Amino acid sequence: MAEPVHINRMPTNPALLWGGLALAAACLSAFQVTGHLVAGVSPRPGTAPLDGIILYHSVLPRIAVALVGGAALGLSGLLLQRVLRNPLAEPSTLGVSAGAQLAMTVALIHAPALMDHAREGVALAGGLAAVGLILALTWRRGLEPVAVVLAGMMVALTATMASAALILANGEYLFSIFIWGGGAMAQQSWEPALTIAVRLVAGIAAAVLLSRPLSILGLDDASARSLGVALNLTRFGVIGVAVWLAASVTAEVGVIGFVGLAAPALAHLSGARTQAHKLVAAPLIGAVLLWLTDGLVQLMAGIDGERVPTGAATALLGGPLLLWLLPRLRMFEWPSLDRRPSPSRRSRRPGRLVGAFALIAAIAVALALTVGYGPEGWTLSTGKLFSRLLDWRGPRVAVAAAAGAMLAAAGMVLQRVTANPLASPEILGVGTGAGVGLTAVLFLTAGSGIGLQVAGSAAGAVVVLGAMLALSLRSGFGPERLLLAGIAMGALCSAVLTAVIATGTPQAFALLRWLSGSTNDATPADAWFCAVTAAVLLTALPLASRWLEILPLGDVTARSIGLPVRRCRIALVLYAGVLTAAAALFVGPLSFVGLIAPHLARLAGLGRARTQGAGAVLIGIGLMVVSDWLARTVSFPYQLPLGLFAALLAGPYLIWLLGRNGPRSGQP
Amino acid sequence: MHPVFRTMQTMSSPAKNPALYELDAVRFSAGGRAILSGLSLRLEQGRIYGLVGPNGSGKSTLIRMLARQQPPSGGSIRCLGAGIASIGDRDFARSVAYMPQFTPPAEGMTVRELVALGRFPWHGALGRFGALDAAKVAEAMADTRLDSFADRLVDSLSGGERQRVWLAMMLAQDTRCLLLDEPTSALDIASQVEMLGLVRRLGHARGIGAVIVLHDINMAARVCDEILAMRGGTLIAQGAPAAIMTSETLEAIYHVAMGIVPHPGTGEPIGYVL
Repeated sequence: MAEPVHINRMPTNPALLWGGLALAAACLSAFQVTGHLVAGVSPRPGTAPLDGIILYHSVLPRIAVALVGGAALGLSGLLLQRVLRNPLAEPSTLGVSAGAQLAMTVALIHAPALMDHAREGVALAGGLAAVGLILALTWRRGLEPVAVVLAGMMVALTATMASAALILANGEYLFSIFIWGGGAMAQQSWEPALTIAVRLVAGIAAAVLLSRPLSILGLDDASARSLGVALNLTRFGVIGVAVWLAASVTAEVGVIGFVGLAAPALAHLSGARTQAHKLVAAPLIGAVLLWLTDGLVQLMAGIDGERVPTGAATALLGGPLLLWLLPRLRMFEWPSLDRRPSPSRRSRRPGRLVGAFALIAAIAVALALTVGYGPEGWTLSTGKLFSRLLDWRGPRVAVAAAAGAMLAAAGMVLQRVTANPLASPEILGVGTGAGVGLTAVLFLTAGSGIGLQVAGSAAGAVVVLGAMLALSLRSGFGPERLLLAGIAMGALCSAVLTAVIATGTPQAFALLRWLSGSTNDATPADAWFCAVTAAVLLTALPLASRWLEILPLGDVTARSIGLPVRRCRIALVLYAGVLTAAAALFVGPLSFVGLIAPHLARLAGLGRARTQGAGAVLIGIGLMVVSDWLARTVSFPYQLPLGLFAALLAGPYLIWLLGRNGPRSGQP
Repeated sequence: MHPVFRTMQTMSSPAKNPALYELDAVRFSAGGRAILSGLSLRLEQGRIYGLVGPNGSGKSTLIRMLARQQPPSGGSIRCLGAGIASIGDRDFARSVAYMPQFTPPAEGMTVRELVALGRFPWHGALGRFGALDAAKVAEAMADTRLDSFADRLVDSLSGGERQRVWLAMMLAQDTRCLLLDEPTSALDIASQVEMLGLVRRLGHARGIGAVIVLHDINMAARVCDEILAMRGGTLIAQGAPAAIMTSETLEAIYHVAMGIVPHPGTGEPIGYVL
């Protein structure tokens, strides 16, 4: 390679590349079409009409849906990225798809009639609600990109988890929704294609009409306002169009991730510089991406039909693509992560503060063990009743507490190792990576023991974490890129999980339960295993506290004061990976405790690695135990997934924390 | 000749008192472009060296190699008599302290905590932070007049104060040498004078050497015992400030016509652009 430094374009001629990919997609489609055509002209009587019908009513519409759907998602992503000045914005990171999915799941259960007549309306309402929530949450931050993406991820995950909980609670007959949720493209008529096409045309028209204000919106607010743009009106108008496009695609074919994120980025990398060029290129690239993916999915399909939903496959293809692209995205308009002084405050008596957190955690455990909600209302169990209930409540409280402690410790370690305050096992995709490892173990070995499961999920977690770290160590790989890489990795692993769950086997059902994070059936053996693992692993945490103190200062400083940086990082990454894997095995991947607990400890005034670690672990215990208690009591007699409550407890707090973050410097 | 230089000369015997740094034909290239081409150099202990030159002359690359942040592409660097790559991480950090051009944000750390990190090479990851460590930290903070800031958060300080904190951390490291990469680039003139004056005074008082990358030639002439001038990846001039501060040499370094006037007070030469 003569010029490894200047890669801000595709290595080959972009037109040729996309032409080639389109040709490949066309070949795959032609393969499908001719398959039916040949059968259609075959001499066997009686088959011809059927094949013709399949061709006309299923094969061709499917191609059309892939094309217009991909284009709509590409356009939607482009508009959102532009108007929010956020290269990470797209329908799925902003929770549009997940919101639409949740709305439709709710509608299907409670108002099935609504789904017949106003499917798109329901989806649009859900999508708009999600985006509205995110914008409201981050408005005070001036819609800062990282805050928006974080809020989006939280809303999306919460909505996904709520959907999964609803599906679980309503038995297997809703299982098909999950497959649909993964973006199943099979068609029976031209109607969806036409519906999306109409929206797409309207969207393109709107984008062309708004192209001037749009290009000005790429500047900062003050410049835009001084150029006379009705800022908020334009912004909301564009967001509305983008959400409508994405929601209609979601309503017709389900959640298809990554196209909206990748198409504008790829358009930019392929040399589309101006707004007008991008407006043409992004939808075209989106269309090619989805068309090609769907062709591949059909090619892979067995005799009993395809088992991998296309939406999962786009993430499978798009995830690695994005990871490959990230280090090459030189010209990308990265938003600057404002380096304002953090609102850190230091307590004068950290020991007392840690004591207070220990007391809170103890109260939470006592509450979870004694207070319950039953048919006779609230009960406080003491004496005999207590010891009888302890057999039931003890294990789940122990599992929740140990998992919370381990996740919090893992989050603290990761935030310090990467010097990135938003790093956490959940956001870097480590939890879902553990899930992929667990999946492999579940499917490869029948009746596997807990030790093997832990080993599998630990391997998955460490591989993901290692990939993240290797990426983050590349030069010029800032915190935003690490987050983007983590989101990509998380989506990639989720896609694998979705694809596996879509197989509908008993293992798939077990995975779905795992995904929503449940301690319902924790056994005493689980509890002992979890507690002992946590105790053993956490005793190592204080030993690493000096490393953790130094690493946030960066490699240069760490090296200059004699820290063996590489060895430290590897050791700590392994450590965090094992912690996450052990915890995720019991409470699922999506809890946010690992993100939130270290933050809470720091905000309370625990700044040193040792005290922050102790505080974070105690907060993690408290949060998890309270979440578990809520999951048990709120909708008695039904038990909700623990992960849902942990996310609901932690999410809003994080958003509030981001919003509160003003230019406040530390006081003496 | 400068008094310190004389004592060093009389003391130096190769076996007992090796050179701080010996560079032999050190090369560095990145992306097929030579940034340093065959640099040979000897730096003595206890002296303060100013490293000057235009942008892209290889100053920062050189100091990063001295700090072992970057291995050379060729040639050898010896530090205090030992090959630089063969020294252990913590041993090296006990001999050489380095301040990068951009110091990282020390989020949520107090001044005292950051300075105490300088003791890491001595106590390691698990060793006890003993009385000697505490004394060295206290001494470093007193020398840099940071006592009144001890419990302030580093990020709440002004640029000049923050730079002093990082200097205190290097002093607490108790090394034989300080390497500073443009320590004054973001400071106002009063802070620049204060910072460099501190380095000079403390360096001489403790008998430790320093290599300072500087853009301001007059500032370099004011604080350094010797100036190393680089251009295009090679050393083009080396000597006492008085020897470097001539219009011919300055023009050779910066490729701008420059003149020299004596300082009205001290009579030291001052360079100016013609």
